[in-house]
Amino acid sequence: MTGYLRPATLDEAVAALAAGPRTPIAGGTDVYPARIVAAPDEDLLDLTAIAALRGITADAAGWRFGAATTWTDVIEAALPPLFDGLKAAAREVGGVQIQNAGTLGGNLCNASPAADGAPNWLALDAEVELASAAGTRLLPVCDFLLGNRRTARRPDEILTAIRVPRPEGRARGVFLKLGARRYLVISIVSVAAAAQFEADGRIASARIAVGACSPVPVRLPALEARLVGRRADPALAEPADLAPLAPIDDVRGTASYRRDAALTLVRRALAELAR
Amino acid sequence: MRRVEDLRLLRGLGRYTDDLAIPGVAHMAIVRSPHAHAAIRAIDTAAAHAAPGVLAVLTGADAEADGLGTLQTIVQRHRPDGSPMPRPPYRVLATGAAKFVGDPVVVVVAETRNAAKDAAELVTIDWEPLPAVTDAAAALAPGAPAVWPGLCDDNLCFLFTLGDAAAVEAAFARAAHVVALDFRISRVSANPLEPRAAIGVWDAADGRYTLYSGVQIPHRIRQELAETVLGVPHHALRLVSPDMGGAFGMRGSPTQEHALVLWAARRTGRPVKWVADRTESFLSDFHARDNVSTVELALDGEGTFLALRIRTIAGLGAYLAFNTPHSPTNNLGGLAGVYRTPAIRAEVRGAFTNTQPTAPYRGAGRPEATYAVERVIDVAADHLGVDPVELRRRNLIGPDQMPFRTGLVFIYDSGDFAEGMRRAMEAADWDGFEARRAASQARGMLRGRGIANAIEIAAGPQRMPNEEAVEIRFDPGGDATLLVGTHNHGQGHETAFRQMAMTMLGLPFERVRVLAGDTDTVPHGRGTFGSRSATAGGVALRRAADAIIARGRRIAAHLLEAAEGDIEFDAGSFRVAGTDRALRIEEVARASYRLGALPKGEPMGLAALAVTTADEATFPNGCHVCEVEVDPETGAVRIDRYTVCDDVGAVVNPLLLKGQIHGGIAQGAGQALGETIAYDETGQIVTASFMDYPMPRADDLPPFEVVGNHVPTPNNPFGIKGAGEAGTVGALPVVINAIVDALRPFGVTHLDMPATPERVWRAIRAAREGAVR
Ligand SMILES: Cc1cc2nc3c(=O)[nH]c(=O)nc-3n(C[C@H](O)[C@H](O)[C@H](O)COP(=O)(O)OP(=O)(O)OC[C@H]3O[C@@H](n4cnc5c(N)ncnc54)[C@H](O)[C@@H]3O)c2cc1C
Repeated sequence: MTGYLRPATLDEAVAALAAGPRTPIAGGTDVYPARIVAAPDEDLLDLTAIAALRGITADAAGWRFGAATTWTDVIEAALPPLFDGLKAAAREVGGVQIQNAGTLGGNLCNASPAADGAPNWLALDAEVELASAAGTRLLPVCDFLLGNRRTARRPDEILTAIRVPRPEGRARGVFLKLGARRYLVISIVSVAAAAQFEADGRIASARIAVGACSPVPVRLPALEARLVGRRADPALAEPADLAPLAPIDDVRGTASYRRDAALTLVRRALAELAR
Repeated sequence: MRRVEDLRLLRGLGRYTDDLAIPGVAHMAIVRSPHAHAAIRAIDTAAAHAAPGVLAVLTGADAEADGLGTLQTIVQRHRPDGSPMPRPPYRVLATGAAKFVGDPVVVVVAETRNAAKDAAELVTIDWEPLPAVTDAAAALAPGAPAVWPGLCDDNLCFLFTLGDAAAVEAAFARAAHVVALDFRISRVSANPLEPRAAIGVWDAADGRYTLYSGVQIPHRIRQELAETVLGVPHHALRLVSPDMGGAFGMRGSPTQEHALVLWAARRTGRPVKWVADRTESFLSDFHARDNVSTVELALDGEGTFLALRIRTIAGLGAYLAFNTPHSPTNNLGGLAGVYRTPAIRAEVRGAFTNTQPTAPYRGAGRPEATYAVERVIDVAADHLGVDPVELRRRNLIGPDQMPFRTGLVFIYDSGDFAEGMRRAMEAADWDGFEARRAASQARGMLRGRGIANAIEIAAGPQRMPNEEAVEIRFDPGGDATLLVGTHNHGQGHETAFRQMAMTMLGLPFERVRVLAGDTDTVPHGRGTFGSRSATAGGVALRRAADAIIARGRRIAAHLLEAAEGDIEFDAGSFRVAGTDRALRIEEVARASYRLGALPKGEPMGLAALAVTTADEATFPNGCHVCEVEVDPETGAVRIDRYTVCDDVGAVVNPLLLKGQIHGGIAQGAGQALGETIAYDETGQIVTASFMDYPMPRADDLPPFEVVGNHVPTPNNPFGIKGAGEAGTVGALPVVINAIVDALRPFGVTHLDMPATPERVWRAIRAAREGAVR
């Protein structure tokens, strides 16, 4: 390691990034394991001293999750049922130690196809807030995630927050994950769903995203459209709805298994929404 | 009694090899083959030599020039034509060609670990990749790439047969029913929490080596390294084995790294240390199991077992390590199970593959054998439409038939298997299963249950059990030190042996100290393996204690001015029979060092060494019952209930026993559910980290219900049968039996381990599509 910086303010942090390349580090739970065999040879920018990056706030427009908010913070926060899926994901990210250290921003910036945060943000219709010395910009999460380990973040930018708009009426979120076992394992498939309901219980709008089955988690627009105006029902999901997925074969699972398991999880998510 | 070692181990005060601070220590990194099979055209070490902090860069050619010997297996087997099996040269560093991914080729010794690792990256090897084969069955197929061209072109290292072939043939010929099952026992890695480590020291003044490394059998490994590799007398090598974070059989062999740190220490004049990281462990620790088998069972019209036959191909790896042929050939007796099957025949082919050598691993052939019988019985029950419990009962050996000579090798001394089954089923609430299944079904889940009877040899081999040694030494203060030849690697030996010594000698707890694992202080030992320590070590302790008591009686008689024959020993006191005149054993010990206190001619001091064997091996056994819930849509399996009724004979310490049973079950269930070493087509391991090699964890397992049906064995003075491997032996078959039972509605009759969600899902899908065999 050649340089390590731990600024206390965002201004100092973006100034440091403007001055030259540095790898931001939050919980370090993705950064560190990736470099475990060798000491890092790049400069690091530790974001954990910037108080403004941590915490969840809400206003009339919606919620703002600071990028350095930990999974434990999410678990402990009082949040409406819309975030039940995000909370479920938080409880299944690694183990307690990982949840205490790992952050929402790190999870998203790391851009692993199997990251458990991403499908939730897609289902929640979230936007990211990126800050640099030049200013701040907003970007929908679907435009932020570009591919396996690739995001639209410029090297001089810091992800400062993830914003979720406030839906009208009753809304609920669901998250389901299938790994080779329950905890501390990379997802074979994950599914996040969020729906807004009419007063009579029919779906006003829904977003369903599948993780670990393509380079970036993807939404299932055909299914989402079909759900509108109906009650949530597993029978509404069809194999053809999974067309946007591009699962791969690897030692953790074959493509055909992933595809089938994705459909199962999507149906279960609908069953969950129907409750 | 609680585990006394935990005070140390749980507070971070354990001393593992890596914790030992040796002044002036240098560090060794190993350049390993990235190819499964490749010729070494040239090695260029110049850049590594020139790297900062480098002390030495050594190759196989250097080792040969220095006259280092090769590692040897102690198990002799033969080719089908009766000629001795080929023994490929197991050098400390490969020369000519590397035979598996991870085969060590060059070592770099440097001032720091990172300097050694950096310099190791600068070694360039000109490789010529050669065709490789990693699968045991594929290795024996015609036209498979030869692991050792010229030495063994067909990869068949040995053919080993056991049992009466003619009797088995005859029984199959007249059988009313014959069922067969093809199955695989996956290849696994032991993955102890503490990775392997070794420190070599050369003392130029004494002309003597010291090796610090956690091993299960210190004296035996010292012997091997001294005799076959270093070519020095045993006393010119001291082996110190400190605390070990698990071993499971994997630390029961001399290794290349042991030899390398010693050799490098001598070459550099510096102590040399090597510690594996996790990936290096996956690539270099001995693997285990790896069998491809077909088992057949012949039954008469009433469901009585007439004969059992098994053909196995055992993956050996590329080299024959100390015990490589042992597991697939030496514990085949377990194929008899707890049944009367009169005729059994086994045929085992050992296959060379481009993988690291296999070695014993918890059970070492026992779980494999039990898996074969207990799975094929379920297949037979399914085929005949008989209740699997009933089919087992019909064939059980009765307690009144003991001692019982089984259809293959073993003579069981004791055990009440029907009662064990009854107690296990009762504790498992066997009869409540239907209600639980209905409840699962209501939630869209499948529930299955399995039963398996386990039996295994412990403290063997039969008729000629290995020896063990214990010395009891009293110091002039009256305290005792036990120098035991077995070696704890987590089981709690310190507690068990202290407890046994307290009982035998009547000493208070704090007056007994246990010492093990140092060949300079412990006179002799065979070591810890094969569920033997309590039995073998206990017998040695008993003999040594008897000798102490006999001498103490003579001394006490003299001090108490009584006849030796009038002295009784009880609870630590030597007493003149019928009086209150007595001396504590501690006082006798102190007196033994006092000038003039002893009778004329009596040697001073109080110590006794026993190097001895138990009369006979023992046969711990038990009945395992497991219930699983399977998600039919994703294939995810959850073990919901697990019950075992064990017979380990007399119990020394119930807490330690439970620890062994629990750990053993977890280990067996881990293999059944997820663990497997997998290779890609080029021979690369694709499961070389905990990301893809799922070790069992607490949340994968339910609370275990452990009940007992202990029938003490007459084969040793304590009636102990051994418990180290029992859990694993039963867990492997019972978990798979339960999963197959859950899948029965789909017509699934078998599923190879590991039962990962995807495999289960595939089995369901194949069955649904009618594609099932
Ligand atoms: C044992 C273990 C288990 C795990 N299990 C799971 C799991 O079940 N599910 C899952 O999704 N993940 C899992 N992870 C991955 C990881 O813990 C999570 O992705 C976590 O949320 C990452 O957050 P972090 O703060 O630790 O990221 P870091 O490691 O600090 O950073 C990750 C990446 O994001 C960048 N970065 C971080 N913060 C910012 C920022 N504010 N602005 C710009 N760039 C930034 C870093 O430069 C780096 O590239 C696991 C990790 C481990 C070690």
